Amino acid sequence: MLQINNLKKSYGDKEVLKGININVDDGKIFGFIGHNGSGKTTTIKAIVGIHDFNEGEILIDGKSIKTQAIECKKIMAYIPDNPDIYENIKAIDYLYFIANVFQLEKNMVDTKILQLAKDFEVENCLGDKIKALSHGMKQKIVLIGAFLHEPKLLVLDEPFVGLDPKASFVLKQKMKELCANGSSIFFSTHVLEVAQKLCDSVAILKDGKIVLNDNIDKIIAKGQTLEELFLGM
Amino acid sequence: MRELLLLIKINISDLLNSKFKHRIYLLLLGICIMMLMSIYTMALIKSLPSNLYYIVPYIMGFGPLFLIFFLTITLAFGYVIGFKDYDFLLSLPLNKTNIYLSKILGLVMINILYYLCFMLPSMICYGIVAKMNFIFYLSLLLGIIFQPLAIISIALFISLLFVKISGNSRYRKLISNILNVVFIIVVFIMSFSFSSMSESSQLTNIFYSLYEKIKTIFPSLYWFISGCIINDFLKLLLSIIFNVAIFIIIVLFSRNLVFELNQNYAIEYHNSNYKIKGLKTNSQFITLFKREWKNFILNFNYVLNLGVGSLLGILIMIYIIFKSYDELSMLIGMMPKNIIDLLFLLGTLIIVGINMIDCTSCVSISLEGNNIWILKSLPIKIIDVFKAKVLVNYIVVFIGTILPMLLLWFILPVNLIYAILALLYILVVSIFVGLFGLVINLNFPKLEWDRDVIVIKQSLSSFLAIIALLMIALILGFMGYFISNQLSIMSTWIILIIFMGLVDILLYLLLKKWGITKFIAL
Repeated sequence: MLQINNLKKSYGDKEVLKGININVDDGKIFGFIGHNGSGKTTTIKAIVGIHDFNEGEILIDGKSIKTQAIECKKIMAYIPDNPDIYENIKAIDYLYFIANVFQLEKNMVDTKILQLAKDFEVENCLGDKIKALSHGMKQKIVLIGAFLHEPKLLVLDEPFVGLDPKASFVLKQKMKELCANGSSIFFSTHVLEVAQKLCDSVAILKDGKIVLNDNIDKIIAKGQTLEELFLGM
Repeated sequence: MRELLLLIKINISDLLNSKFKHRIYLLLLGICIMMLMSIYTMALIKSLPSNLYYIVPYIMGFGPLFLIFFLTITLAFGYVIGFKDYDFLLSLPLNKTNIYLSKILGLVMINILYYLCFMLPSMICYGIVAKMNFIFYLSLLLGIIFQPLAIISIALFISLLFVKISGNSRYRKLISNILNVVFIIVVFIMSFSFSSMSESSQLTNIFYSLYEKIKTIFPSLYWFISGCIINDFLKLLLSIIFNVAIFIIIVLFSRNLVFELNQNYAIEYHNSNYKIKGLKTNSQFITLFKREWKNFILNFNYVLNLGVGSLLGILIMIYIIFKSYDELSMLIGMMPKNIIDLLFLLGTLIIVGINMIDCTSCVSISLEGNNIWILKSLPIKIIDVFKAKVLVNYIVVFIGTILPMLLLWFILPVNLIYAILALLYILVVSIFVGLFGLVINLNFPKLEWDRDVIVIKQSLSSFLAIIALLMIALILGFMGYFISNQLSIMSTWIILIIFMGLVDILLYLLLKKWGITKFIAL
């Protein structure tokens, strides 16, 4: 589903990504781990087409994000680390905007929104303006927007930050459900226990280079935890 | 098209769904502008012979275009470059051209609203006085919204060009801001010679030569207005086509440039090899003041947008002195002493009035943003926070006023006592600006933002404070003029100083009670 080949990105004369290679298969959850400032968000923004990159290629379902950006984005959803969305509109208007962008079927949208809102326990906040919502509530609204069109690739940047335990649980369930239907998930996190339990594969990024890229079962089979591996690097 | 409409709809919803109180204030402000423009147009018509009434719409149409030109240059950063939802929109399957168009159209709509507020009342007043027919009003309605398109596109392009020239260096924001300010000052100074190109001192001749210049410099405005007046649809159509064509050409030409600039804008630089300097101990108030001063002086947007009035004041004074020093000295030599004293009084009121728009405090609370919890959670007196903010504003206004005031004293050599009184007046007004700005900002705080430029240039607080301060400056000017007609110059100075001093005390007391409660509630 997602293929990153020799991805290089520089900010001015500072090289932040030094040739990254990642492959995420259909129906798999991929965890992206790294220190602060290692280049995780830059990689994610390159995957979803926000940042351009200097070298390499990113293929989503076999299509290049550089040359076929809109086709790639149609099957993708992105959750940023900070749910920074239109503050002055109602949560429901934001979700209707997303539904319109992805041209979802009108009669399905309301039912789906209500179901997801119920799952994330925000059904009473749909009529509130986004600026009146807490960080966690905004995050839930953005998550609903992402799940609304059942993306084939879900890209999340630190999705568990600011979520209450129940919402974290629901999110993990939703991620698993999405993958069970053949979609793939690529997410960055600092919560290593979550990565270990949730992911099929993980990669650790250090100073713009991938220092570990392996199947989680293989890592566990070696008798190591992700935390031990990460701290040892 | 569907995608573009969707984007425009969400932008407008986000823009218009602000607080009801804010919308009411904006509406009232629009009505005030329209009323002022009607009064001004009627005054202009009355000053001209009836055979020259037709030049009024040209003169009234040129001013708002000039204003929109400057407004677009300052607003481009925030609307088209570095806009808040850049990351979000780019992650969605949307056409880049539509994203860019929706942003530009947002800028265009705001400017058209400004243009309508300024231009529509003038045209209607002219239509009533000149007894224009139905076709005049129909042409006006058809063509007016297209008029600012060309000027907005040109201003936008200049602004983008400045951002491009600024490159990728760590000082790019400073360079871009300096280029903007220098450009605005150059155009401003050029407009001086533009409006005074007539050798004749007669008002009618000045207006007529201005009309002749508008015909050559703003052909589309000429086509539009003459099309409306003589009911010539061809001219009207020509003006619409001209504006739309320039808009389309510039939008197409700048599309890629905008995305390239937005990509570069995301790059931040890091200062390496920093060596710790060691703590210098200060009192709480000095610490707060230093923090406030650094916030101001290290923020180029802040300095160049809210400190530019001081710079303009100084430049205007220097310009007047160099341009007309001989004529001025000769004229002043012939004047009686009481006229010189009156001119010094009025001159000081004008200088202070110009500098009153340098209100840094009106956004100082908003600029705390999400970090306001720091001030609220520290063991400090909130009134000290206010004092620090007022002191910074006081310094900015005082510095900007004192030099032109001294230059004025050089031209108009009044007694030392008047100079001291002028100094005292500057002191009380500088404090007033700081206190007034804080009251406005506490009423209209904007703590949720991701680019400080949005707070500095586009917040309701900054807009209202500047408009209100301009009006107060006008009132003070008229007060000075009327009191000096009834009483002596000395009494006028004293009354103005005591009046403003009392207002300062009242505002201080207001901040001490209501202001602190309001701040805590933020």
